[in-house]
Formats: sequence, structure tokens, C-alpha cells
Amino acid sequence: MMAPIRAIIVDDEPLARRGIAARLALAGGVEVVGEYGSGRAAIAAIRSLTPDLVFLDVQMLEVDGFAVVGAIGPDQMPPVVFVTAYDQYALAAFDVQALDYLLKPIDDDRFTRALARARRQVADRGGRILIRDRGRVTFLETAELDWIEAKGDYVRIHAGARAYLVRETMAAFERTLDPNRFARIHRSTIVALAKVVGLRATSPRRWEVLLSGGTRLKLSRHHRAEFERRTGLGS
Amino acid sequence: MGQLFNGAVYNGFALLAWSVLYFWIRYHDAWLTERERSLRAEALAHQARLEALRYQIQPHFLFNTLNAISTLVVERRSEDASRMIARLSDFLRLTLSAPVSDLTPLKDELDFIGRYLEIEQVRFGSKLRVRVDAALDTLGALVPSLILQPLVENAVRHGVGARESGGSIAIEGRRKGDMLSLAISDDGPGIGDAIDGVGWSNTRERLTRLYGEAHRFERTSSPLGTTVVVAWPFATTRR
Repeated sequence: MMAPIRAIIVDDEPLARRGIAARLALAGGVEVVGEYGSGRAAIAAIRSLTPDLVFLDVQMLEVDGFAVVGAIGPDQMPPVVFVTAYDQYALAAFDVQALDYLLKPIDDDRFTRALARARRQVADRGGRILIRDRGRVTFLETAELDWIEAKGDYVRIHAGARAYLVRETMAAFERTLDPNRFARIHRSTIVALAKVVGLRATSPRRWEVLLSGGTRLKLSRHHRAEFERRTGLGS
Repeated sequence: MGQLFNGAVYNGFALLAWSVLYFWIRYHDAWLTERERSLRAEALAHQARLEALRYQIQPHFLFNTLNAISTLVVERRSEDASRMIARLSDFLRLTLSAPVSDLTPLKDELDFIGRYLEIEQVRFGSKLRVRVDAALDTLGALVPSLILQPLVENAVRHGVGARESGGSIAIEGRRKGDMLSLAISDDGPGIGDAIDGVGWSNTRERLTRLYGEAHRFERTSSPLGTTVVVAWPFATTRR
């Protein structure tokens, strides 16, 4: 299942909210589930909608951006990107573990970087990974992954009947996965441990990993001991 | 002999008189120069102080306006973006280059405020409603340039920014006897115990320097709104 990030935008200027909404629409993969013109309305919305991501203006009368974070509490607060015309709040934003701090007027490059960072963080929290396949950005539940193969500067992700080609190196991609649920079985292959159903020798020194869908993957000598230990499939 | 003596006394006296005169003139001359210098220094300090007191553009207003323009660009509303850039340029030209401590007709001041409010109306959309009502006989009255700007900015901030539903701002100009009276009102939730900003104390000092005790600068605030009244002697020609 692929789901977009659910975001809300909080700013007392309608035009400033629209600027963020328009950039999100261009980037894709983010659904704006609410726009709010005050800190008070934002607090209520964060509690009732539990969005994945909050774009939050700092300088609002009565209840400002930091008061919103304070009211929700650091444990309950979704990732926040502060958006403000003032540069003197950067340290305070760092203090409340903001995901990013964008200055108005918004720089598109910085906005894109903040959004990429947000996608990674949201994916980590939700047990999902970010897939950028042929220009489309979507999320994939990590539970759906079967196996991943290296293809030069790309990785091919196999999930059920589908495969996605993602521009990322194997090493970088491996870092986004939970090491308790995935294992290297070859220089160019990672498998989801939950999908492994067996191990068999095809010749005295060659081994294959069997996945639940019937896929058979080569297990390298170098990775065999570690794999057998983790799956309990050793002889 | 006696004549010779008399001549010597006379010459001595004349020399003394001339010397006194000479030194007096020199001293007086130096005194005049010194006095002129100190007066000029005082005037310069006064001018510099007035310059510092005059309205200065708020960085956050500039950045927020640029951000609004940036939104219009992303939305490909180029005509609106272009109009906004023109209004912002008008605003910058006047705030950055208007003659310091100069008096300007109320009509020009209101024209300037109108450009500023046009920018704010694009930023806040339907949230900001504006009414300007100046009596005909006040349009030519002289006002310190940009005197209304910080007051109107405050009204926008407290009256409109404070509520999601937005609010209204009214600017009224009346002649009251020999005084020109200007009132800036908003229907916001009132300023409560808000601390006055630099703009507020600067406005007070500027009015004091320009008009001494002959001015009024008052504010009344309630949960139904805030009204600021400024007044000073009515005048229509430049001094």
C-alpha cells in the first residue's frame, strides 16, 4: 500500500499557506489535510488529525509556533518544519528538535531539501520506505518488501508482483532498513527475513535462499554463516 | 613739556582703547564662531535624532511581502505578482528616501498608507477590511511624513493578525478647532498588557520634538477594539 504524507500548514497569512501548499502539490506525495490560521486551531488539529508532518509559522499572535509544540508535547508532536521571516528562532527550533527551519521568502531548493528530510523521517516512523520510481514519489510498507537487488547506482525493490527501480546505492538503501528484519545474503542481494522459507544446497558449495513467493536467490559463502545464525536454518 | 606729557597720556590711552577694542572683537568673533558651531552641532543632533525617530521599514514586513510575491509566482499569477512588486517598490521608495523631518500634506500621507494597505490586503486577503475617511478640509493639512505608518501597522497586527476571522481598520481625519486630529481604529481583541514597541515611543518623541506640548497622542483599548488618536496644531503651508 502506498500512502502520501499527511501534512497540515499553519500560518496566519493565507498567501503564505498557499505558497507551501502549491510547492507541496508540485512535489507530490504529500496530502495537505488541513490549513490553519492560528496556533490555537493548529493544536486542536494536531490532536484530532494526527498528521505526519506540520509546517508551522513561528510568529503568530497569542499562540505562536513554539507554544503549539509546547502544548502538544515533544513526544506527541509530529515532525515540524518551521517557516518564518525571522532568523533568530533557529536555535530555539533546534532545541525542540524541529526537522527543519525555513526562512521566508521560501527558497525552492531549501524547501525541496526540507521535504526530502521530512519524507525520510516520516517513513522511519511509520515502518515505511520512500520510493522514488520514474519521477513518482510514494511510500511502501517495509512489511511488503520481499527482496532487493543492486543494479549499479540503482536498486530494484521486489514487493509481491511489483518491482521498483530506485536511484540509490545498495549501501545507502540498506541503511534505511531495519537490520533486525532484513539481511544481506549476497554482495548484491538483501532479503526480508520474514519472507524466507528455506535454504537449500544446489551443489556441495552452492546455496540458495527460498522465499515464500517461490523466488530463489543465491547465498554467497561470505554471508552464509551469519544468515544461518539469524534464521536458524543452518545444518 | 606739559603738552608732550599730555600727548603721551593721550597716545597711551588711545593704544589701550584700541587694544581693548581689538581683543574684544577677536574674542567676540571667536565666541560667535563657537556659538555657531555648537548651534550647528545641536541642529545636526536634532536632525539625526529625528531621522532615527522616523518610521523605519520592518524587516519582517519586507520578508513576508516577498514571501507573498513568491507564492504568486509559484501559482503563476504573474499579473498579481507584478502589481505586488510595484506596490512594494512604491513603499520602499517612500520609506527609504522621503525627506527627513519634513512635513507633507495629509493627502500624500494617506496615499502612501493606501499603498501599504494594498500590500497587506493581498497578504491577508479578505481578512483585512479598510476604511479611510478624511474630511475635505484636512487633505491639505501638514503632517510629519510617515507618522501614521507605525500606527497603522500596529492596527493591522493587533486588529487583523490576531483573529482568524480577520478584522477592520479605520483611519479618520478631522479638523477640531485649531487642531488636526487623526484617529486609527481596529476592531481587534484589544492590546491588553502588550508592551509598546519602538514605533510607539519613537512616535511620541518625534511629536514632542516637533510640536512640544501642543500635541496629543492617546490610545484607548478594550476587548472590542483599539483606537489611537494623534493631534497637533492645524497648518496648511510649509514653515
